[in-house]
Amino acid sequence: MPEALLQVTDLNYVYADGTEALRGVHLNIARGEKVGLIGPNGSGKSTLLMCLGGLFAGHGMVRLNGAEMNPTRIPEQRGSVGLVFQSPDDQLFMPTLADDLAFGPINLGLTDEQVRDRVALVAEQMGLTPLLDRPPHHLSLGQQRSAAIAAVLAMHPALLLLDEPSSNLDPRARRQLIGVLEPMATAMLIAAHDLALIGRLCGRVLLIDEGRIVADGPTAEIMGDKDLMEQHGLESWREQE
Amino acid sequence: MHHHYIDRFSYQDSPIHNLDPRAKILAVLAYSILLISYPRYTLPAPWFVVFPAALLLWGRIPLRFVFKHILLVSPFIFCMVIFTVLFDKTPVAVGRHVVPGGWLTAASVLTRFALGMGALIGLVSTTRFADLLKGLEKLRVPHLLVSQLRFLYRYLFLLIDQVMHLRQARQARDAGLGPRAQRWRSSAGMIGTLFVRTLDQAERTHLAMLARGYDGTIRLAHPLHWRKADSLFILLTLVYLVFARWG
Repeated sequence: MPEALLQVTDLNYVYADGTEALRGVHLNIARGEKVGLIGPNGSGKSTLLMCLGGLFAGHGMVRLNGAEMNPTRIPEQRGSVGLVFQSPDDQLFMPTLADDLAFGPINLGLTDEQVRDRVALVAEQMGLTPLLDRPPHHLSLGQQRSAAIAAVLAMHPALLLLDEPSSNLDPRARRQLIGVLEPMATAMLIAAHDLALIGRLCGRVLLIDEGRIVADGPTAEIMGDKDLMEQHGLESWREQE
Repeated sequence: MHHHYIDRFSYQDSPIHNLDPRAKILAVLAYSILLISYPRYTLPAPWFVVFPAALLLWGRIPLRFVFKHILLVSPFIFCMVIFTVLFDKTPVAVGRHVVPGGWLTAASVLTRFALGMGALIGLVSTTRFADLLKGLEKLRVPHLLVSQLRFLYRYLFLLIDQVMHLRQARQARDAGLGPRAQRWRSSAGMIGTLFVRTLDQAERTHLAMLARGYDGTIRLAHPLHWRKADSLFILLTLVYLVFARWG
C-alpha cells in the first residue's frame, strides 16, 4: 500500500440552512495518485473539495502529509492543497494572467525572483507564455481553464483538487486538458460528470451520493457497474461513451 | 460575447506606450490641475491643445475613437453648462463687447472638458489597465481604491455579459404584445437577479482568493522600471505646462 498523502476520517459538513452535505466521509489518497470523484448533482462533490481545500470548516479529521489540517493554520496549509474551481471566472481575478499566476506564490512569501521563476516555469509548462500580459477576459475558455490550473500549480501543491475541469470545453480544448493533466506527477482528486475524462486519467474512483462515499475502487469496475451507477443517478461509463 | 474593451489600443507599440505609467499619470495629473486652475470666465490658452494631441498622435490613437468617447460622456457636462447659461447673467467685458458670464463659463467648461478628456483618453489608451493600476499603487493611491478598480476591470465585462444573457432570455419569450407594466416588472426582476448573481460571484471569487493564500492584502510583483526617457518626459511636460499656463 503506497504512503497516504491525504487521510480523511469521518468528515461531516452542514450548511447554515441545515442541509447535511457531507455525512461521515472516509477516504485516502496516495502520493501521485489520481482519483476520480463522481456522483449526481447535489451529492456533495463540490462541498467535499471545499472542505479539503480548507475553505469550509467541516467536522472530522483531515490529515495531509501526516499532519492534521488545523483550523488555526489553514491559511499556511492552503499552499499544499490546490483547488481549481469549476468556472475560471471565479478563479482568475487579477487584471493580467502574469499577475494571476504570481498571486499564490507571492502569498506564500516567496522572493520576487522565486515568484518570477515559478510564473515563467508554470506558463511554459501549460503553454501560456505568449499570453502572460493578456487580461483573463481576452483568453479563450480553454486557455482560461489552463490558466486556472497553472495559477494553482504555481503554488506547488502536493494535492490538486479539480472541480468539473472539462465543463463547457470543446473537444479540442478537452483533449489538450487531458494532455496537460495526464503526465503530471501531482496527486489529484477530480470531481466530474465527464466519465470518459475520469476513465482516461484516474485508476481509482469514489462514488459519492447524499454526502456519503458509497463506492471506492478501480475505475473500470465501479463505472462499469450499470446497476450501481443507475442506482445513484448516473450512467455506466460505456453507455455514456 | 464580444466587447470593445476600454483599453483596446493599449497593446500597441509607440514611444508613448513605452513610457512608465507613473510618468504618464503624473503628467496628466499636472496637466489637469493647471487646466482647471483658470478662472471661470477664461478660456485655456491654445497651447493646452498640444499635450493631449501629442499623447494621442504619438500613441497612434484614432481621433474618431477619441471624439466618440468624448461625445459619450458629454451629456453630463451639457446638463451642467445649460444651467450656467440660464442662471449666470453677469455682464463680462470681452475686448470691446460685453457678454453674459454664463456663456463664457459654458465655453470655458466645455473646452476644458474636451481637453481634459483628450488627455485622459490618451493616458488610458496608451497604458495597459494592469500597468495603470500598478502605477497608481506605486504612487500611493489608497490600496482599497486600486483593488476596487482592479476587480471592476476584471468583472465589468462579465457583468455586461450577464445583462446581455438576461435580455436575450427575455426577448426570446417576448412577442411585444404584453402590457408595458409587465416589461417594467420583468426589468425589475432582471436587476434583482443580477444583484444576486453579483453577490454569488463575489463570494466565489473571495473563496478562490482565500484558496491561494489571500489574507486581506493583494500583493503584486512590480516590474515597473523608471528610465531616463520617463524623467525627460516629465521634465519636458512640466516646462511646457509652465509655458502654456503662464508664458
